[in-house]
Amino acid sequence: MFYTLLRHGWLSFVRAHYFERSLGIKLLFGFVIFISLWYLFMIGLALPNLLENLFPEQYPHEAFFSLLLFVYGSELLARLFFQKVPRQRAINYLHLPVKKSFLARYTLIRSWFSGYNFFLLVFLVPFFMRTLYGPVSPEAFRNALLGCFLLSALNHSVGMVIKTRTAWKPSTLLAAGLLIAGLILAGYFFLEQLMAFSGQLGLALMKGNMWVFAGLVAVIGFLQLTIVQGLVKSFYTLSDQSAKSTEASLSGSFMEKLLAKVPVYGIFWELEWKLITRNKRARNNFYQWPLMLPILVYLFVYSPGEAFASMTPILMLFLGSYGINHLQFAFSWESRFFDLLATQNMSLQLFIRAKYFFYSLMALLQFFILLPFILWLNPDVFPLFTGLLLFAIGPAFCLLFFSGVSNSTRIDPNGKSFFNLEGTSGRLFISVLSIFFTLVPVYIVAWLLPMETMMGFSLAAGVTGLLFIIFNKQWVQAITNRFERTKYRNLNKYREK
Amino acid sequence: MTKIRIENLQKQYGQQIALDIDQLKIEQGQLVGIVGNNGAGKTTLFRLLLDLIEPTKGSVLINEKPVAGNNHWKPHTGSYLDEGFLIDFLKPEEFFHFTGDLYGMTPKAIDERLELFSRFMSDEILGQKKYIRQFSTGNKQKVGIIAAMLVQPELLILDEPFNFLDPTSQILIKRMLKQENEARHTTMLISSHNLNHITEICTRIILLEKGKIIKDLTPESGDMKEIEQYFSVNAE
Repeated sequence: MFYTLLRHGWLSFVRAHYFERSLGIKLLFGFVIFISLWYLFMIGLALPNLLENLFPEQYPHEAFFSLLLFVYGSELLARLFFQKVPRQRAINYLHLPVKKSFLARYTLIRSWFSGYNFFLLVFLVPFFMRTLYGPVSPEAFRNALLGCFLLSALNHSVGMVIKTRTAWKPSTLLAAGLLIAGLILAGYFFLEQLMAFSGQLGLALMKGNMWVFAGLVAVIGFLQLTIVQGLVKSFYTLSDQSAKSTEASLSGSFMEKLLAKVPVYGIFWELEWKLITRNKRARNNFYQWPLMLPILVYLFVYSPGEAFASMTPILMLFLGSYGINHLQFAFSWESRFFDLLATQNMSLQLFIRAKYFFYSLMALLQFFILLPFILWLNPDVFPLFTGLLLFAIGPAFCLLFFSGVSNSTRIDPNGKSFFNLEGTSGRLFISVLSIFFTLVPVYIVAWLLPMETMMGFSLAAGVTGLLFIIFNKQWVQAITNRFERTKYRNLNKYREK
Repeated sequence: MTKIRIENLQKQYGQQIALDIDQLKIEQGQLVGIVGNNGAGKTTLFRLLLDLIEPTKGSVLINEKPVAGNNHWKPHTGSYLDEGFLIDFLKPEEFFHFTGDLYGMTPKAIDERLELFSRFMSDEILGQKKYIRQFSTGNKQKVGIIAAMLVQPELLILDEPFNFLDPTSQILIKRMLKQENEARHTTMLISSHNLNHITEICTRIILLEKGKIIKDLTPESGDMKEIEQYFSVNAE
């Protein structure tokens, strides 16, 4: 039975429709994993030299051990945000004659295979090989490696305990918040002591101190038992669909009412707004985007000259705002109900234009909010920012709509927001990349213009953008025609669950 | 007056023929029941009627104009096939107003029309502060049916409308369909596996098997036993 469940888990991964149908996404997925692991391995090899330079009075492994708590603190934080509890996989078996405790143990054991439990080893093995195996002893190498693996296991257990709790009371949340704040403050005020403790812990692990190992194993064992109990309880919540209904208390917000009043496009703008605010994946993308923007603008405002050539595509991406992020999946966001849209008394051209104006307006709003800061900090970059903004909502948006017609992948806008490959494909990757290449002719024109290159670039980008904005009706019509031609294929794919 | 005309319509998936209809005419005001076992081609027929899939050959005409690649039929057609006809992050009220608005109805007209469905909704749809995705399958089905009927279409297409509904709702929907058909002369195409419901309300019954029409009957002609016999023979 255990093997069957494991096999089902594997099949659900490799048979996910976005994964099954796209060779590109498999290659991309494999490439990203390979590159990430390669980087970790290389860091592990190079770090001893770096630590020797930074802390010449210490051995590299001692310097690393003094940072051990911070490394594993960060790892725990990453787990809390990103690591999934594979609990959802058990829901299909709850009605079958399989004990809940068995499913809980399966879920727990399944979680041990998570990449989070092993990825640091890719870095630690070469690092300890260089710093411990030869210089100290093979036993020290083995002990340190085992000890660090136990620290990962401890983090895994803590993360799972937190994540298997079905509901957090406000008082518990407050206590957890205070504890984290306390730890951060302690880290700030007692940094040296913490580093010293961390160093001692690392050395104890390296020397194979039985008390430390036994203590870690005991805590991990206790937490694993707690997780099984938590998982069994959490299955009841999973089965109870009504527990999910809390988010629906949103009544018509001010924004929804305002958008609804806009003539002609209002009905679609309201729908768009509801799509991005009421669905997890769309909403998280929406709220994360503006948070990143000020940092980037800050960098550009202070170093436009140095960053000009290499960073303009990225700046354009950010000035296009959430629109570029969202429109890369263009029509896939509506894939779950496109059958409805296709049979309603509405014009597809109007629908696409409404979408285009909506995201253009958002990019403009964001730009106007930033404008006082730009003018205050560095007025010289104003033409560059304006040119790139116009370019983003001109050719970049047009290209995204155009390539969006070819992306017939179904998306659940309410699906998870992190590491969600649904909707992605090799073709999508290429089309997003091609946005950057649209700037190449602009660079060439800028170089030919009889003025300073950055000003020429701003002018060329701005004029190109303006032309696309002025002639939006024409290219939207072309995209509508293209969509009509591929409608049957797209609708068919959208129906594939 | 002919509302729907089908000519040499065929839909093929690879080597498999999902639907193959030489000729079919449906007159204005007919309430047509489409019956057949799973895979008979009922939903394929509806998708072709609504221009959601491309016919391999042949054509569908509504009001004597081709459906494929045209929009002329949309202002007069209401339909609900499955959950792909619902916007699940809207509340039912919002969904009804969205649909009504597309058909040019005023908010007041939409609310008035919704009142006619109040018994069918039985206080479980409106004012629930829930998104459609949070409703039970039966209530989602009700939302879809109401949205399709809300706009007072000349042509109404419903795929398995009795599925997932409680007995009271099944009786109510039958009554509403019949009333709508009689009062407004609405042409209706309804598929179902429930022969009792179909024979009770439909003025014409089409039996599909492996994509082909094998019977085209009227309940008045007393041929219903043929249909019952067909399904019982298939079960044996």
